[in-house]
Amino acid sequence: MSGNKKKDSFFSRINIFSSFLQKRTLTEKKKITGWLMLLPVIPAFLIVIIFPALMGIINSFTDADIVAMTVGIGAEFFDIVDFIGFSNYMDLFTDGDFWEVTLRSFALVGIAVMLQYVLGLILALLLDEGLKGFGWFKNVIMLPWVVPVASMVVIFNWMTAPNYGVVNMLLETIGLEHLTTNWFGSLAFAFPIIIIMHVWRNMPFYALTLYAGLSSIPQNQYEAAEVDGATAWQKFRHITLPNLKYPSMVVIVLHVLWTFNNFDIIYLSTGGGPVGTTEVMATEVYDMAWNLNLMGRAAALGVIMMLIMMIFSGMYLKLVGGDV
Amino acid sequence: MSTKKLLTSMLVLLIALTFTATLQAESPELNLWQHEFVIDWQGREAVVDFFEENTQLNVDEDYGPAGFDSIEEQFIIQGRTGYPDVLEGTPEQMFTYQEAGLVHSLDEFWQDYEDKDQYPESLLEALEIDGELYGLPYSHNVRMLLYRESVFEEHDLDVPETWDEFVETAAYISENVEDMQGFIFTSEADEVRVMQEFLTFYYQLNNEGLFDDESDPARLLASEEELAEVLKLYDDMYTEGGVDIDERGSDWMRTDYGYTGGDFAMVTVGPWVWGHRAEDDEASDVLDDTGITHPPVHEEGEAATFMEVAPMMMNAHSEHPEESWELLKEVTSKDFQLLINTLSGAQAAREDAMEQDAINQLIEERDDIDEEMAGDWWLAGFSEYADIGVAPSAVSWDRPEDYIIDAIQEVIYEQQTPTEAAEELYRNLDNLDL
Repeated sequence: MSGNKKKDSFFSRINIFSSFLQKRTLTEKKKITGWLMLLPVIPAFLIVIIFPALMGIINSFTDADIVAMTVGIGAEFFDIVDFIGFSNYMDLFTDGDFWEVTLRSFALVGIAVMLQYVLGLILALLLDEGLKGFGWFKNVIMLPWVVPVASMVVIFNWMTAPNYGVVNMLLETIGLEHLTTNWFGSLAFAFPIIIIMHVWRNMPFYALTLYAGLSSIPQNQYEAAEVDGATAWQKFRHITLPNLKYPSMVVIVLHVLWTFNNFDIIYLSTGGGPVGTTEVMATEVYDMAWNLNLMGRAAALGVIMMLIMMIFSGMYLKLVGGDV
Repeated sequence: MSTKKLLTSMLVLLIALTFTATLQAESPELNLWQHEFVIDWQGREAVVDFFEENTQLNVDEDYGPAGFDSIEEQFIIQGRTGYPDVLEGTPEQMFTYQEAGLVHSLDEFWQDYEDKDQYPESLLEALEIDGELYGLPYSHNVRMLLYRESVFEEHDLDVPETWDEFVETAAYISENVEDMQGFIFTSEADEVRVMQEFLTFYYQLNNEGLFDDESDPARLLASEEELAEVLKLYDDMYTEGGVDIDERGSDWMRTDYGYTGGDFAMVTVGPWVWGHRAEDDEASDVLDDTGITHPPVHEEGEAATFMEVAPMMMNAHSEHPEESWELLKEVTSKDFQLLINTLSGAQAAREDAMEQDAINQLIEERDDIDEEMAGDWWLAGFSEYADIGVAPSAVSWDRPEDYIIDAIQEVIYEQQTPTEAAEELYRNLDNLDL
């Protein structure tokens, strides 16, 4: 008896819900369905994204150190740490290193993304030209992008090693031995090599995205321009570039986010050295937390990074048509 | 075979399996994070096999992350879950773990330990904090000056005794010996070896240590002048050409492999480089051509060097402390230590695992151990100077290490003079609340 009652109650609820849906407009129905489909993801989102972010924000207002990290989150954590207001933020803003690493992070993003875009675009144009013997290149172009970062760092380390590195050997062969150096250990060259590594890795992604964009440009636009006597530059300037505007912006904003957030390339290759000349915000957070045992201040820097990233993310969402 | 016999055999097998499974279930599963079990070196397979064949305990075959830095990070985050039960580390890490309440004092077990007489007092003291023992000595080493005997003979050079001679000899070799540099300092950012090399030379000026760990907070023992002297040695080495400026930022692999690859005439390292011997003939030849002596001594100092005592620790939150102690005893047992240290060329902490007869017998029994070990000259070369080893103070070394590496880099990259860098280093170390 009670089993039947439960069944009836279940079906009556379904009926109520379906009559509720029937009274809605199509747009409202779509919205409700969307939210229902999101429902299973929300707990995961809260646990994996929101909770750690909130803990980071709370940590940034405390004097948490390595001992606090061992107890995890709970009453004990709040017994161990003291809330110190905005001290961590003030310490950061009055520390010259903070401004140095922030500037370097923006420099890395600006230079790397610009080079990646220009070189990626050139590569995309070459691919689009369909040059003879260039077909195989399309198949291997993504290799740098799929190689694990650790392997890429090993390759670059090997190529630039002081004695047996291929770069130095090449320089010696062509009579430029005075230019040989320990590239990753050099104040002048360590940061440029980090930029080169970013470019080498990400350029294929730009090339393929832009190549896809080029392929979708209607051919009749070029034909019409030719009839009007447009030069190659004019066609590029007034047809190709405007048509690539959307994929370009998406790929640029995405790489701004990825490069700004990147930790592993620098950590594995130079560890932020020499003398901090390759230290960026992402590696500085790690250094503060694990080497200087200043978890609270590291969290404050992480929060600042998060705010900057949110601005970039907002731009990206705006571009792809989402609500900001 | 008749059906009846077959069924009986199957039944017996089933009962045996059930019995084994029941026994297994009664023994709690323990977790061991052992660096040598997961990093790639010539003896890894042999020591893992030996351990797994001989352990009386139920130990998970996942031996943790590779690399002491990863071990530290993961243990700090998850140590309170009780996982792993036993782990290997550096003494500097042990001090950090103890401060965070993550490692178990071994005093209650140590009192009744039947093998406690096998450990020299000096090694035990290196792993004591406030008079309590927190790690079982696993291996130990003192940093010695290794030099290429044939190069010194060929160029009629004396092994340097003082810092001035050291710089002069290194510069001479860099200048006059083809494809060879006099010396190398490890100088990569975030590399613990950098600090250990710095202390090797610092202890000659102050063998009391860098910090007085008896006081709370720990008091800085170094003077600005002493720090400046050590940094001046770095400066002199690079400016005089004893160390190639292209080697700035070199990591420990460059130091070790560079020496066994014949790139450097001198290095200050521990006995572990013997482990590279089996890699190729060149490494083997270089090590056969190696002389071992104490690092050159400051003109106004006394012979001293960095001593590292590797601890095997127990998680303070382990759910099975009794069994974990048994596991600790297994991985520091004579037989296990004899094998792992003979294979790697490291110095065992136990005296009975360093006995020459036992080493010779092991070499006879196994064909995967280099017979050259029987000559004993390698370990004897390090043991001869064991008494000048100074263990680091019992404090958390994360920040001091960072400041020391910063100071060295400031000097070798000519961003600061040794005096300026020492002034800043002194101020940073003195302000620490350790």
